[in-house]
Amino acid sequence: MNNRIRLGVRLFSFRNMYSLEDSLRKIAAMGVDGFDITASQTIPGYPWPSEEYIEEFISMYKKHGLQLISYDGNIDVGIRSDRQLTDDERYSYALNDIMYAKKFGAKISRIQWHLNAKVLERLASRAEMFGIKAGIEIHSPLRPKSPVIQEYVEMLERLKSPYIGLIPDFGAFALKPHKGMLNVALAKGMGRQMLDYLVQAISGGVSVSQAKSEMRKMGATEKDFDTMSELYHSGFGTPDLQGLKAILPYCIHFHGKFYEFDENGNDGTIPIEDLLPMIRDYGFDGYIASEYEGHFSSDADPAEMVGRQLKLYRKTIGA
Amino acid sequence: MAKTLVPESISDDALGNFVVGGSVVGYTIKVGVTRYRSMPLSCIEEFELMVDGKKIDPLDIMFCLNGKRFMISQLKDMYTEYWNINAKAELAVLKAGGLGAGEHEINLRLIMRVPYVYANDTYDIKRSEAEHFAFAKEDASCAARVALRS
Repeated sequence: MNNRIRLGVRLFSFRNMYSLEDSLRKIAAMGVDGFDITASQTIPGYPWPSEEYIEEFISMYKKHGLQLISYDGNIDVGIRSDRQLTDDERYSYALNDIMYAKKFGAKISRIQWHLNAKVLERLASRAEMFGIKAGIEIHSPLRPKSPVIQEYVEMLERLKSPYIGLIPDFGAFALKPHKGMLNVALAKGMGRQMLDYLVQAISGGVSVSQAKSEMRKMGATEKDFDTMSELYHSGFGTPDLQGLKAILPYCIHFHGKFYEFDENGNDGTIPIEDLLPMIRDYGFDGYIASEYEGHFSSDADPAEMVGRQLKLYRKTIGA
Repeated sequence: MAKTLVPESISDDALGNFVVGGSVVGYTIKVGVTRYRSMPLSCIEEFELMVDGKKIDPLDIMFCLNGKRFMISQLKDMYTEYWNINAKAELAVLKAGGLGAGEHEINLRLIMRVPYVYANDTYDIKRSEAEHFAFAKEDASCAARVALRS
């Protein structure tokens, strides 16, 4: 089948290590034409950046021959100290991001899953008015089959609007924890035995509460529980490929999350040999934007890592 | 060890005199946001400033950002004020005569709520359950030895 996948880069990969101008130059040099921004990380004044800044930003990416694929907002449901945001407040924050996505010239606005399905349904007509596709990110520890994601899927099946959809992050399909994360866990003082137990427990779908009680028996410290939380949040195990296949009609964009390469130069953590052909053969017409997230455990140059991964993608999908 | 991956939040020129009506009434410390993204001030759950090993009374600190001056006790309610990635907050600290020239040890203990990450990290949740979850917290403290030039 013809490959209609286009490749892009998520600016998040660079973690503000280079100037914006240098970042865009590096991306253009990788032979891709699109990029994503995490607005709260990249855009001064988020969530209400100035018109002057927007103009400057657009002319800069155009100068490098790039287009902005996705303007990613945050659904900070815990922004208030006294309570979580109401549905109306979530609606308004997401709508604000959709409007700014349009102002920045993006095609897509990434919304975090805390929004909830009812609110996304209410946003569909506004997204259509702005001509923006609003997508819910499926980020680890969530998977396509997670109940909160299935609530979105049921609504999307019913509504059939091309302006709302899903954005899976490849990190949600990790086979195992990346080596860097295990090293960080050990450096934070977790014993080898407890770490081995946790990796097994998470891979095997053991619940947080059950893992906690097991760890207590092993003499876990407060720090160990923090590490446990990070490991659970990263999520790994048997990837939910069937779940992904079922939601492909609703996918509008993908985050090509990766952490490191194995000794053979392959991505040993994310099953890209399964993911990419499945997405290609479905006929997905859109972008997969590469996202490096190995910074916490590696000093590797992020732009070099992204460049290597794009080559791996091209090889895998035969583009 | 995990790295914080934020631009130097307390730079070499962070310290200054706090001058009111021509008199030095204390000192100022410029601090950049200590997380990878802009943070609403309301997410600061714990705030403790130590200078040269001495804890500073929060009533002697004004937190200045976005052209405004906040009491430390107000921060928890400031959910429309963002500590931007490119902005420096200025802590204006009252101290008769100022801090005095030379090197000083700054320790800022900051615990921040991560407003989009629930503390119960599990994929097997329903929306109704999520509404009751607490949020993850992150230690976003920073420290530096900085010289006050004059």
